[in-house]
Amino acid sequence: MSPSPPLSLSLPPYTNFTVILGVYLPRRLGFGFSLSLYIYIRKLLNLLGFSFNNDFESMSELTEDLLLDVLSRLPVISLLRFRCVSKSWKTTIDSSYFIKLHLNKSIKDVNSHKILAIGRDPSAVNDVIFCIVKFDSGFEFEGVQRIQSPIEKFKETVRFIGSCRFLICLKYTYRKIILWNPSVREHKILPYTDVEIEASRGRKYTQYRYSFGFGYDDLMDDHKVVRLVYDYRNCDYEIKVYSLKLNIWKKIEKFPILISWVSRPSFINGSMNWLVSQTKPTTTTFSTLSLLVLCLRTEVWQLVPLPELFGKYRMPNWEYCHFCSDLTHWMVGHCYSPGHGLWKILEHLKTELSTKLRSLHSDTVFSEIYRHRNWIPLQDKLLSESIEICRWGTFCWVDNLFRLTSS
Amino acid sequence: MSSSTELTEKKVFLLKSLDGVIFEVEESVAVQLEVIRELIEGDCARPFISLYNVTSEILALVIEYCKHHAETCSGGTSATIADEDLKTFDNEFMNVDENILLELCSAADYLDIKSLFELTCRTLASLIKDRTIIEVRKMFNVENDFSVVEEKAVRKEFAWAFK
Repeated sequence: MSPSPPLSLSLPPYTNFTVILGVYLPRRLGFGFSLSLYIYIRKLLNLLGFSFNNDFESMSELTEDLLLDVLSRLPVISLLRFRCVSKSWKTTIDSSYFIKLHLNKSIKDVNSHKILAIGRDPSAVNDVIFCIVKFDSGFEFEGVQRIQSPIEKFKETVRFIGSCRFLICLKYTYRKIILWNPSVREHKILPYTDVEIEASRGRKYTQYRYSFGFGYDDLMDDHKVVRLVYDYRNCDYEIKVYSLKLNIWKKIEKFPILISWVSRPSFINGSMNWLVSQTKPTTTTFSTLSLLVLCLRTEVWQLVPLPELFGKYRMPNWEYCHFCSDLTHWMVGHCYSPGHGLWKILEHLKTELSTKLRSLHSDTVFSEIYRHRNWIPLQDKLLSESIEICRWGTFCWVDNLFRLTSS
Repeated sequence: MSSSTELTEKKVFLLKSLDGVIFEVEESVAVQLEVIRELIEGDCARPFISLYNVTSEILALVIEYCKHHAETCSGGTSATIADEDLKTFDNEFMNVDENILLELCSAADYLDIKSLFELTCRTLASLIKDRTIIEVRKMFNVENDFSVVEEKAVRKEFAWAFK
């Protein structure tokens, strides 16, 4: 571009047409200069009567960084459409860099925080329905949107395993585990893996007890599904970990204890945590519980003993614990109200235990919704939308572009 | 230039825009521009600060924005009222011509004003999100380099997003 002749238009300041083209212009070349010059010329032409009708014309003048920044704030549905704009747009939107950029914006944007719920239509008892519960910026309930189940078959047996780093893990029967991203509506069925418990070889898979967990290894940036299978008669167990990156199951050396009962695990601070009982509880004796902790980064075990007091209470229905972000909530699950004795003990122990667990791993990502959410009113609101939420059936995630099928 | 000698009078700084217009701003406003705060801290802010990438038209708007934010935050009102007030102001402030918005975004990036940058990016995103593919191509001056078949295939991958 050749330098334009000095021009001076004096107009009232602070109007859209304050244009002083002159000696300062040719001084600086580069981005700022060319952008400003471009805008000046446009405005000049505008003054002379040429009209620029197409709004946003200069959108193309955004630097690449700014463009990415603006795009990364778009909702997933818009971005999936904009993959069609051009080849370079598709490459950008599909790139892992952009997916991360978008995710980081989503985490900060309350409007992309959602809760996924599995429920039942009270009028059609066996029909499992999936829905997204939306919140406004004040974490107030905004509405429900029903979405399609990733797999139509076995729908009535579907269970949540967990949600972690914005993917959701579901279980359809014992063999079919899937990972699902409701934002892009993609899922992946995990490969099947056999049970290889030595002492009880030859049993049918229904004779074992299963405990699945879903977590994330921040070191390898990898999602992991953990399967603990135990044979309660022989107190034997095995543990296998699935890595999404490698798409394989791997058997992990087990911690040398006997297991007669195990809770549903909870993923806290980078570790998978199970409540385990090492002796069989009978009608008259209660078992001692411990916390079995597996670090997903290092695959190193720890056993955190719990105070004896725990055994004084009847075995709760731990299986239905659905809070994963906070230890207390996880422990209390859905079975105990604040008036209950166990609650008080847990309250008392909370700090000590949380510190213990936190020291194992310090980083955790979870949605603000969990902190603000009050479960009971939410349940009532959903009922008014004629959705009866299964008590194990809510998980939160934020909108993201993470893809589960390789293109 | 120690600050102790200027205790009584408010510090002012002079900002010079690309087109040579000089603006006088108080320190509380100037420090919101991260770039300028660094200059002030490094004592390089005299006699005036030249901003080569910002026109007077945009700089006037930026200063108006920073002034309002500085006043609202320091004026003894409660946090919630101040928040509400800023929200209304921001909404009105964003009610400008798209091209101005674009320039504001670039300026906020250059001057490193995080809140304004967030605000403009968010507003731009909300203006784009519901556009059609053709509108987006025109808007960003992007040529469609897909063949008809290719485009159809890409569209099919997420057909539900087009409904």
